[in-house]
Amino acid sequence: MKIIVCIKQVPSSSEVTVDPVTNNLIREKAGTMMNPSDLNALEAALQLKEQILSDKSAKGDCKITAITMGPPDAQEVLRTAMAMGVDEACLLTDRYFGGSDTIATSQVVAAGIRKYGEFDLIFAGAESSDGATGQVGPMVAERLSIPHISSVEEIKMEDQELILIRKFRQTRIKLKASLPALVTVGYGSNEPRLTTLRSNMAAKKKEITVFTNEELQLPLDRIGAAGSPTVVTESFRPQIINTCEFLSGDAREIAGKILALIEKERGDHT
Amino acid sequence: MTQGICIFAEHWKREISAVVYELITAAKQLKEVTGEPVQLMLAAKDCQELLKQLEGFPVDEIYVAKLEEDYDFQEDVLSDIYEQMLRSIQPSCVLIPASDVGRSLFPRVACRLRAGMTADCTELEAAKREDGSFYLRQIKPSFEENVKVCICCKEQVYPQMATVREGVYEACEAVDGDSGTKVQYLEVSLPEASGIQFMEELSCEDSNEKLQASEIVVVGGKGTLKEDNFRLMCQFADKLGAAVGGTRPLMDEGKIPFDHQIGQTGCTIRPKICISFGVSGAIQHTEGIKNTDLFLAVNTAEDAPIFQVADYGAVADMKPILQCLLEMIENGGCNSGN
Ligand SMILES: Cc1cc2nc3c(=O)[nH]c(=O)nc-3n(C[C@H](O)[C@H](O)[C@H](O)COP(=O)(O)OP(=O)(O)OC[C@H]3O[C@@H](n4cnc5c(N)ncnc54)[C@H](O)[C@@H]3O)c2cc1C
Ligand SMILES: Cc1cc2nc3c(=O)[nH]c(=O)nc-3n(C[C@H](O)[C@H](O)[C@H](O)COP(=O)(O)OP(=O)(O)OC[C@H]3O[C@@H](n4cnc5c(N)ncnc54)[C@H](O)[C@@H]3O)c2cc1C
Repeated sequence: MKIIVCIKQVPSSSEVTVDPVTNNLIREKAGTMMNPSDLNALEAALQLKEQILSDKSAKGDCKITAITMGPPDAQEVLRTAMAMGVDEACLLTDRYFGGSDTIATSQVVAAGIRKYGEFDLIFAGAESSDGATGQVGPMVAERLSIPHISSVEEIKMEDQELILIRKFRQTRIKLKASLPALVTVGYGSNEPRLTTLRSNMAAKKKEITVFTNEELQLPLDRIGAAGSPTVVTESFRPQIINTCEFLSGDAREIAGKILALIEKERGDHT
Repeated sequence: MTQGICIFAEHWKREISAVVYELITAAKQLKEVTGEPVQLMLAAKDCQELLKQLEGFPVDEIYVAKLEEDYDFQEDVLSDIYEQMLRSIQPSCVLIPASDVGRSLFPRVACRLRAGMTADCTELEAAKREDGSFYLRQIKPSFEENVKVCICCKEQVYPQMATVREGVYEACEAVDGDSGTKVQYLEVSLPEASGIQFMEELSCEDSNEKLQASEIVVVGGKGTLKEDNFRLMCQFADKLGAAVGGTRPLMDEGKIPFDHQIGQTGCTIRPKICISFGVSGAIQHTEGIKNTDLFLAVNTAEDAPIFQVADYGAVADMKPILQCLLEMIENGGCNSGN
């Protein structure tokens, strides 16, 4: 079984301001990290691998590859993935990929997955913490012509098929899917394993496959900012319209007013 | 020529989703500027029943594909069907509920159409280009509500697709009499079988039942992580007989269990009274709070977005307020405060 996990490097800080002149976003002290729900996707993949390997009756072989599109330093998140236990890693990087929206990103990621080789199952996060569209997973599935299941909470293999539980409205839905398929994993759906000093050291020494557009050969009008159908035209601080009534006074007065409002509302109902 | 503002008529269990009526309002507002027709696209097994629910709404055209089954959760199949429908309708814009289905199904459709797609819009505006053609300004919050961004599709890229948050537009009301809606049936060819099979709907074994059922909910944000604020807040909730919920940082810190996180990735609550302490008011959180009759918020920052959703606000440090609240309740209610 060959598993691919799509991961994204995101800014670790949400401290964002708007440049008053250019209207561009200024990301302050922008460190980077792995997108939170991708940690859950990795954990789900690793657990599935454990399940497959423990099944002695099956010919239990399983390899997990983490893949990301990003600048060269996005290899950091691949190292983290390998420290968590992923077998191989692939970085898709090229200046032509820069500025991609979800349509262009999915084009590159899908091409990268194809180029990397065979796959049976792809994991992605349900959404990133910065763009947060949740569109990349389903789009990658579409480009690879495979089904996808979103916001999966539980996943296991049974007779070469996937049994999944997906969150839906206020309920949970049990589904069966044939392979190959793509699943997106929601934030917090499991407890991602921690890396250790040793696993981090070992991950540093592992090799990472790098594909640029030299290898992927995607037409330049399909990738990057040029190949993106959407553009961010502006960013601005929202105008603040406070519709609420402010309670004035010192702490004691405010507390009194709060209790009075609660009592009144309760009185109206009982 | 692409023409029309087309809404995805989402349905589940033979009922049109409530958010569809909100999107009719959004489309109507766009129509006032561009003059384009308001359209719905509906693909379903029980079309008649669903069409009946849509009677009387200010919709110009409804495009219907009658299906053998609903193909729930089979988004590989559904994306093919909606692609076919959109290719024959040829709208300039497609409005989609930012729901579990809309956010998951339509990225595939956008890919098939090579269309641009913006997620989670909270405002849509029609603007005019120099040549007189219209385009859609798709505005949405980003980076946890600190700023908003406007996203547009490049010229010549149609349709312009946007998922729209539930609850940002008022639902449109049906009117008596003939709304003049034209219903048109579309032939779609059925794609190959889906790779996905529905097995069963599981009941949610909710460990957050109390939170969901409670008439009063006290919600804690990151501000409660300071000092012993969280403990004070829980005591206050206890005295009120209220349930406690929280924002993501509280869940991350282990102060509340995962299913007590309120918002987009957590649960939705519908209490009569909601009191929040130290919550900034990111939309990912606030959309999980619905139908309140009284919403109070305490926050030290005057510009915190929570004050845009609360009915009453106090710009103050929560600690002395919580201390006073506890003291007053112990001394027998609010009158001691006056
Ligand atoms: C504030 C903001 C708003 C934006 N809004 C839109 C918009 O409405 N429409 C639009 O088309 N673009 C939008 N973008 C651009 C979008 O963020 C980029 O296209 C980005 O490359 C991927 O989208 P995402 O962050 O929404 O990822 P999501 O679709 O939320 O990510 C889901 C999963 O896809 C996988 N994935 C995502 N990116 C990568 C990657 N680079 N490499 C490998 N796997 C990946 C991961 O598994 C991830 O968990 C926006 C960007 C910003 C900063
Ligand atoms: C895709 C995605 C999904 C998400 N889903 C959810 C979700 O389901 N639920 C959720 O909650 N979040 C969710 N988030 C996170 C969300 O965007 C916010 O980051 C989060 O809600 C912020 O929590 P907060 O208000 O507690 O913290 P902060 O934003 O840090 O706000 C803390 C507030 O406390 C105030 N404060 C500090 N000290 C005091 C004091 N002593 N007295 C009074 N006030 C004080 C501050 O002024 C500040 O406004 C999601 C984010 C993303 C990107």
